[in-house]
Amino acid sequence: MNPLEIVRIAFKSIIGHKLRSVLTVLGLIIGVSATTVIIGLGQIAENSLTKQFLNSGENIITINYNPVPRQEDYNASEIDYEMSPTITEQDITELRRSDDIKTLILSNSTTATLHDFKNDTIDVEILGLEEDTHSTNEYSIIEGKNLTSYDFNNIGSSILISEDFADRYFPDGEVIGDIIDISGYPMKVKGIYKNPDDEIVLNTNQAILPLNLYQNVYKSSTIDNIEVEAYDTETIEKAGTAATEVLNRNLGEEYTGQFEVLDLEELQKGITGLTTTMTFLIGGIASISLLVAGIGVMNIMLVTVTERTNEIGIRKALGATRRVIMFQFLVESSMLTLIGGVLGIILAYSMITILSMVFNWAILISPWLIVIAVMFLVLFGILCGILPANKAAKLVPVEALRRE
Amino acid sequence: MIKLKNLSKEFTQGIQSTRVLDNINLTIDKGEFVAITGASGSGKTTLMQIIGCLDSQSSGEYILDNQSVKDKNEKQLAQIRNQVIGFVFQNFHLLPRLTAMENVEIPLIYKGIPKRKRRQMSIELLERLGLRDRTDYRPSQLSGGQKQRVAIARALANKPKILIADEPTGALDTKTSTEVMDIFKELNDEGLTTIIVTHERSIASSTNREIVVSDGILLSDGKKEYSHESS
Repeated sequence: MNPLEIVRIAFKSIIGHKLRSVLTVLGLIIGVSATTVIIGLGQIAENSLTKQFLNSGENIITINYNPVPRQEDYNASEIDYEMSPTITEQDITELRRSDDIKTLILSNSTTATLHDFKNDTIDVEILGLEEDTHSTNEYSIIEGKNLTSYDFNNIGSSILISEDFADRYFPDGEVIGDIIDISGYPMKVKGIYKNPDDEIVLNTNQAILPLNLYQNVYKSSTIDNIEVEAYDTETIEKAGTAATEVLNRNLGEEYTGQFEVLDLEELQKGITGLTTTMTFLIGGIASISLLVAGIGVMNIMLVTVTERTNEIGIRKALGATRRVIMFQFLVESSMLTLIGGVLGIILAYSMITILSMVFNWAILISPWLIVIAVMFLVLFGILCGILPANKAAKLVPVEALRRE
Repeated sequence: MIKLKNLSKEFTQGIQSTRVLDNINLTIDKGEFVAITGASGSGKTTLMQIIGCLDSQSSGEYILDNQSVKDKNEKQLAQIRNQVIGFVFQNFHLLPRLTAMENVEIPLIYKGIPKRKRRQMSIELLERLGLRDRTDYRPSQLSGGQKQRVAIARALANKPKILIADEPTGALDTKTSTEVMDIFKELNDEGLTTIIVTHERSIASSTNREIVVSDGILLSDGKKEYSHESS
């Protein structure tokens, strides 16, 4: 007989037991959506972590000073973690000469302690940025004006402060044009910028000073942090190596360590490992609900078979073979899981989409994931249905007809 | 058409085995109108189930249409139940969620008749049994007599060679019982071999041949000399 007929019979039976089917499907929706959301969020987390740490797509590489010497036979007690070299004017001049480096992104940072209107202390991260660095970071100004070339090229007093800092320091009233005393210098708030969402920052209370102003206030002519921008993704490594060569050549004798390029590959592996572990862990917990839902399907199918013993007897007396009966119940259980599963996936993706919109994440919907999920669900449904379907198929017609 | 040779049936429960049918020898020819009667527990239902290929014998032979049933596999037996035998049950055994028409369609589905043709055949059958205006009713919306007529329509769907009815009037009142028996008579007149299992003497006596089963053995096999029309 036509398999489509069996599908029709199975569908009718599901429709016939509305409440029962709805409850079974509900269990599946919860199980599937919980698992899918966790896996989806895991992918998003990995993607955004990778983006943050590796600045992917921006051709920018961070250069760090590693106090551990390159030689393997060093004495661990001799490592001075406190001693960190700064980048000098000499370094900068040499680096700017390199053909592989497009831009140098230089910044200084320190923490200043301020007092708010309640006289509580606020620790503010003070960033001293060069004009190039400032424009690369693309801060979005939500109030007031951005810093201009004029501010960077002259020693003025205009600064930008972060939204969180503004809210804390000026709970109400006019902010723009107001004066804040930072480390003993009065500074004028020119604009407020939005704290970037996609960046892990320990302290969201921040102030951005033009580098000239920063160096003037903190009496330093050196640079703490350096990043280099390459011309394209392929030459990132080359630019990084060129920069570390210059910096290490100029490094004083007293420093045992050296400048290093952040090992992107290692870091990428680390991030992937971390997020995969997390996804597996939480996904594992979530998949318990899927397992419970599967047991629910099996349970309901067993109840269905017992309850429909009479129907099975009638169908057999009227010419249904064992295979047809088996197929009917398998189709029924896989239909239940498929309906529940598809609804679950739809729910999960709407949840992820909404969360992404709220938290400004990049959404990742892999069509392969959906295909695999749907195939898995059908298989899952068949698996959950085998036991009940086999029970139904094995019923002797006489026995089945005897029961009412 | 039907030939039973030394047929026995035993049920084993633990170490105890009960012989429900003992050495039954019986021949039913094509076109006969037969009643199998007996008290409850006599073995008449088991006999009917073996004849209807719903159950199998423990020993002996059952030859249906010149073929030994013992040699048939599960699929072939299903095909016999589907196309050679038509069943009518005491409690109608209609599927409650299906309409009268859909119930009649079940054997046609298993035979593999396409939907459109099936629908038409089903309606024709119901019309023949006087249920033209009840095709879309569910069993719960039908009277006992109507339900049994739907069941008869369903039994006739694949034009079986043998019609087996198990206590077809057991759940019906006298008037409806007579009506249903009239239908059987009519079908028999058209040449359909009809076997009715009943414990009611009046029903049995309206057939042409009464086979009485008692404690698993054939007690009597009385062929009436007069035709059913005069009974």
